[in-house]
Amino acid sequence: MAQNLLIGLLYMIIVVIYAGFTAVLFYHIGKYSMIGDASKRMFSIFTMICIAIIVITPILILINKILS
Amino acid sequence: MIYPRFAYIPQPVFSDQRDTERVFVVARRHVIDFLQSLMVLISLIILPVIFVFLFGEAIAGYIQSSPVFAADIILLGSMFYLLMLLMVFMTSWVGFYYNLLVVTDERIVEITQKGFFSRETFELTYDQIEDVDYVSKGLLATYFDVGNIEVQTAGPQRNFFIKMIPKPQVIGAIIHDMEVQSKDKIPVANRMPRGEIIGLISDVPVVGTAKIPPIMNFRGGLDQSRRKFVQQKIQPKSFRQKFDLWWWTLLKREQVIFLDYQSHEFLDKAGEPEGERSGKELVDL
Repeated sequence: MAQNLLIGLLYMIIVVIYAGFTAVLFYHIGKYSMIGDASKRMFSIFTMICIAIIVITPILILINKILS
Repeated sequence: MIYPRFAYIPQPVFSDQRDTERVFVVARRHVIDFLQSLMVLISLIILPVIFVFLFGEAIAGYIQSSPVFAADIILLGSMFYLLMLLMVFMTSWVGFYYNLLVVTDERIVEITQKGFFSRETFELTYDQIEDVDYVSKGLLATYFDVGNIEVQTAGPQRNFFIKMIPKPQVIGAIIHDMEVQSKDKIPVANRMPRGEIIGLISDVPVVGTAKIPPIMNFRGGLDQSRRKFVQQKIQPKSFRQKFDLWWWTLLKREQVIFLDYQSHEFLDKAGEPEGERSGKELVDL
């Protein structure tokens, strides 16, 4: 139980760090990007990859627990 | 040289652009300048593989002692590592991508971005310029047509130095041309690069046949025009336009933006109400 709590806590901390960084990036790109530049495209690619990682990890953890 | 008639208006507008200001050059440092950061990132991706190769047995032994928890920790650690790599990559990319050189009919603007929280804007008017030099050295620089531009100033202003900029001779010629025209007291609205290439927008040369093409100039209502312009991106429509674009790209092996006489009409409508002079007119070429 304590181990599960620790895993959950660590996961939440990582997600909060990512969210903070993305918020700063979003603000920055919103303020300084120009029409036709690649900023928004890069931001969406970055966000999609990160969300995929964030979603896949707990699924893998769950599968690990179920299998064991 | 005969240019095709296809007209294509470039979209970017920099944040401090004035309503009457025409932009001839928007250039970023060449991507080869970003290779160093990219190499570091690739090394960091390879690093865990080496780590597992070296300490694989120790990790396996630890996992066997507490398999479920250890596997969870490894998964979380991998997630954290990948996210951190992506964040580092994005931070260095912002530092690279938001460094900008803008040449307009009034001034040269250099925007320097360091990380997220440091942004310097340095501008120079043409009457402050003493000399313009460009240097292209080395194999990569020659192959990719990349070089450094130095604009020497007459007054106490610091010199203007931009490194690893694409097509330095084109940009240098445009700056020099603007400087000469400024010193010849040509009014700002009539200034225009005299060379074959009249602009360079995001590494793409602009070739113009009109006397005063409105390169990136929305003539008032800039914000309104920006929004409209984003929604309506123009594409070659007629067969002639498509053909012109195709053969020119094939011939020069690079994408080129063309401006033609129709875009000149936009300037002539400067006296009309703002709503009728929005980006839509630019789009309906």
